[in-house]
Amino acid sequence: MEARVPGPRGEGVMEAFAFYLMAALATAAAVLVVTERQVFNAALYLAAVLALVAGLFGFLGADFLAAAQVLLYVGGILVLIVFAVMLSSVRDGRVRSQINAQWLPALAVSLAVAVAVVEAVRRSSFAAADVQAAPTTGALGMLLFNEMALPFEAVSLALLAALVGAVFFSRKERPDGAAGDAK
Amino acid sequence: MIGLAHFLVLGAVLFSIGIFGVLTRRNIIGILMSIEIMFNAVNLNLVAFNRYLYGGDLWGQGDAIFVITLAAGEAVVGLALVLAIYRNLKTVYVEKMDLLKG
Repeated sequence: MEARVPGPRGEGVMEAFAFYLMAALATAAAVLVVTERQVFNAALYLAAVLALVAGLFGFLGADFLAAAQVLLYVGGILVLIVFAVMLSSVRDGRVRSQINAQWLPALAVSLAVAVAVVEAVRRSSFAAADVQAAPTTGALGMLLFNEMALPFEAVSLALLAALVGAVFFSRKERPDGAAGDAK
Repeated sequence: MIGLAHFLVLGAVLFSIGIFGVLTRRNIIGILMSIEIMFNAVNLNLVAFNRYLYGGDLWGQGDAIFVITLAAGEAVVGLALVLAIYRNLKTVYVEKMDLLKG
């Protein structure tokens, strides 16, 4: 693994410190997201994970993506999740375990995936390209509206479908039980 | 010096944590949150590959934007479904959602 972007000498230590700090915090917060008993607290830890990933995007020179991450994920998706947690308030969340009985096989599966990917990364060799970071917003806009115009339109169609689907699923059901009674 | 491998390993770790969450969470909203962690791990890998291997292009970041957008759509539809299920079954635990069992 020799893929490295060369930079000035003295910045290396600060860079490594920043990366390891963000990586450790993100990993710890992610572990807390999947193990925390209170779903609301898990949502708050998820906010930490998303914000730290935005910081890592900034570390990689993806300035526009870091801003989009904060706007869309932390500001949008997370608020939706918190809304859903509040609207489906679970009263027995404090006493009952939030983890099902299959945690040991699940741990084995996730560890196997992690070991496999890390081993693949260790054996691979990528040729490094030494390109300095530059502002990306303008170039990204040109890319989105020229070469990526077709996926852009497809995504707008998917968003429209999601909008209609959300309205359909969240509307009040008619009292005659047209959409089916659960119990 | 931080290189591509650091980001790939971090992405793998976050992705496995997301897999663990999806497999073990009883609360369906917790499963959705674990899926969001997995999306973020993948985005991190896309941007890291873009930065370290194809620094002149921005296609990796463009792909990550599409992933974020579709994750937003997925969260909207998924949470609407969760609330519809909660209205009908009065539960958010996946083992209670067993209407299809014979």
